[in-house]
Amino acid sequence: MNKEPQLSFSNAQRWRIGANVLVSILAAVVVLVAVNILSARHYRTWDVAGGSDPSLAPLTLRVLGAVTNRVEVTVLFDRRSPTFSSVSRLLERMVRRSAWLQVEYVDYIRFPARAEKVRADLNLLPSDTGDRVIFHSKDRTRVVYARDLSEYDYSQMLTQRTIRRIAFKGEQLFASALFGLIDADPVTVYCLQGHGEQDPEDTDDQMGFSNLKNSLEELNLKVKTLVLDSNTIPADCRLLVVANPTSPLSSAEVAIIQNYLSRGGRMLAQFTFSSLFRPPTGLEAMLENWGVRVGRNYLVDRAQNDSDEPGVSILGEFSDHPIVKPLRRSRLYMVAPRSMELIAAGSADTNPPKVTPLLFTGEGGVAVSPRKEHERQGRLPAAVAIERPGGVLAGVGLPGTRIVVVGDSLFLGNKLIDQLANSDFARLSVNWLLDRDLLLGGIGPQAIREFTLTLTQAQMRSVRWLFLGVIPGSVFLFGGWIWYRRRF
Amino acid sequence: MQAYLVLVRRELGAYFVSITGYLLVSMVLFLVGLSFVDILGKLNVEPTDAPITEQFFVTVYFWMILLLTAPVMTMRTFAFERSAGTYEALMTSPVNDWQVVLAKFTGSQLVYLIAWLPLAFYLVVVSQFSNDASILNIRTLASTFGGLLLIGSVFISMGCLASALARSQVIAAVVTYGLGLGLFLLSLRSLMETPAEGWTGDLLQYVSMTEHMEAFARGAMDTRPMVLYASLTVFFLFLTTRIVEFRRWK
Repeated sequence: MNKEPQLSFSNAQRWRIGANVLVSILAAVVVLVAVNILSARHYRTWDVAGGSDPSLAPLTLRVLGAVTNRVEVTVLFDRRSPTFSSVSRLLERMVRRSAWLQVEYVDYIRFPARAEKVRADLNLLPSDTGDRVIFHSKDRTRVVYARDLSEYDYSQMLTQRTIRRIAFKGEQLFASALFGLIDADPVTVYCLQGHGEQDPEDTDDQMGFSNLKNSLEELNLKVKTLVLDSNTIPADCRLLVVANPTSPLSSAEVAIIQNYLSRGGRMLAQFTFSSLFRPPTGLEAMLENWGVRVGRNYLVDRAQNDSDEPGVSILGEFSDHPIVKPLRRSRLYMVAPRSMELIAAGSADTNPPKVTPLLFTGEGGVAVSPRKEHERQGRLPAAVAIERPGGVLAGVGLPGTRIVVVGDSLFLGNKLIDQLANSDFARLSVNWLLDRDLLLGGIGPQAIREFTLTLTQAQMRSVRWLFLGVIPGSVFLFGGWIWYRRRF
Repeated sequence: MQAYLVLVRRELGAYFVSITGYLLVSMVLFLVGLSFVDILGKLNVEPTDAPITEQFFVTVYFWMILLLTAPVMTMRTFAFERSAGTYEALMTSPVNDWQVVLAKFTGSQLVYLIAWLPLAFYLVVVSQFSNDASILNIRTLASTFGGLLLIGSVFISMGCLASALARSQVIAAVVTYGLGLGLFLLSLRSLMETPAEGWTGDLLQYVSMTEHMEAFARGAMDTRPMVLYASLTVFFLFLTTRIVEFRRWK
């Protein structure tokens, strides 16, 4: 007997059930996609980690809030670099705050071809290698180099041959780079020339200032040279750099600079110990009117140097001034800076300038004259900041004047600018001189926590035994015992 | 609700009255132990700036455990019932299809959590040997387990779906493993020499499990991955329910 299998449902009913399932699945897919599109557009993020993953500084948030164009951030890094995790974590926090940031990680060790393409796109020289983070928006590019991202502790270098990374400065530098991209047209910085000053186009290792020029351009500044052949300083000069003139300025030139400063000008003035063996430049006398005497001596720190000969000075004592506040854990590498002395301002000024020392020697500081006489001793300043608030002259409001005077200029030369926190000092000084308070203070270096484990060989053996044998083995044996009890 | 709880208990019993559940948990513990011994060896030589929770979740061991355990845990949920002949009895009992699906999912999820729970103990043991107590942050640990739970939910719901679709347990396990591996491979954007751009890049970033897990392990909470994993879990469970219903009326 041939019996046809009987269907529970007719074909039409089966088709209807199938169609119903299909439609409901399609509806579920639509709901899934819609929910996730909404979620991607309206989301919230927060840190539950507390201290180990701090939020961004208010200044960084302000800079991120001001970004209104797409910024491509290329992290050209070897992922094994110790700085990489700090960089990626910081960028992740920044991306969460600004959807305009598009981050791409390019590991040039694993993907050399991709790295080469990035280099070519950004016109980087083949010799320009190393880890860096590149910020690019429209026609502007800012580069933050890995070497600038960390602060190191060298105290155990000689005894234990170790250099510890103690702080991460990424937030400060990334915010600065972003600011450089979103800032309006670049302002102009003039470097005075004509008296043997250090030249921003000079690539000489020791005296050249080309690296300083590059750093200033990364701050969205246009750097030009200036020869005082007219009676005024150009109207677009927002900052005048006078770096180590080796021959005196004429009295007319000094008067032009004095006039520029009294009308709210900004100046970074630098000297070197070698100027002690030459006649005064004329700037020294002018600065006395602003409350600073540039000593005819150079500083030696007895804690670092037994000799009176001019040599390297590592300065790590800072005041509370906004320029040096972020450098509290850092040090500067200088060469026998001339000392600074605070004096009463020269003229009977109704609006006297305020002079604040920026950095000092330690308590063992000595000001040594060219004849090797000890003129002053103690904690002696090597740089000062001068500020005179804006006022009104003949019914016209004048902006405030700001001057930074440093007893050394070699520390910003091509070779030394990368030493310790020298470039940070230059950047912070310029930002303060240009009233870019947004980029000062508030974003200090973030201390790096370093975790180490100390297990003896015996402890390591015990842990291995516990993790690989005792714990999984106990669970397995317990299961075996249950199985045995049930079976027999 | 009562029926649901009875079914959950039945599921847990199926794991822990037989040797299956114990074997699974001890296998997970062995792999977790292996990864910790590896991390300890590295940290004993070189200091790190990342807390211990972050150390573990970037290792290949973690993803290996996740990709392997979900198929093994879930392959038996429906496929085993069918091969053992208990499926019809279950389906004709006075319970809804969604109660059956949810109970099977909850049972597997509980086994999954039990398997991961000793991880907290491992982390505490490791932190005892550290120079800094903050190597283990309780809040970070909580967010880490939150991430584990969310990602695990997706894998387990996928496993339930595969088990409902397949007749054989092995096929169910292979399908789950394949789906999980596919989802995991989508996450590996960092291995792409030329990263995807535009909406493809955004999509890949949105579904990147490795990046999400790293963020959870750091204590960085974000509603996007939470919604993604919760919605995917609900979606797969819904599909499973529809498959179970379809089989009932087929």
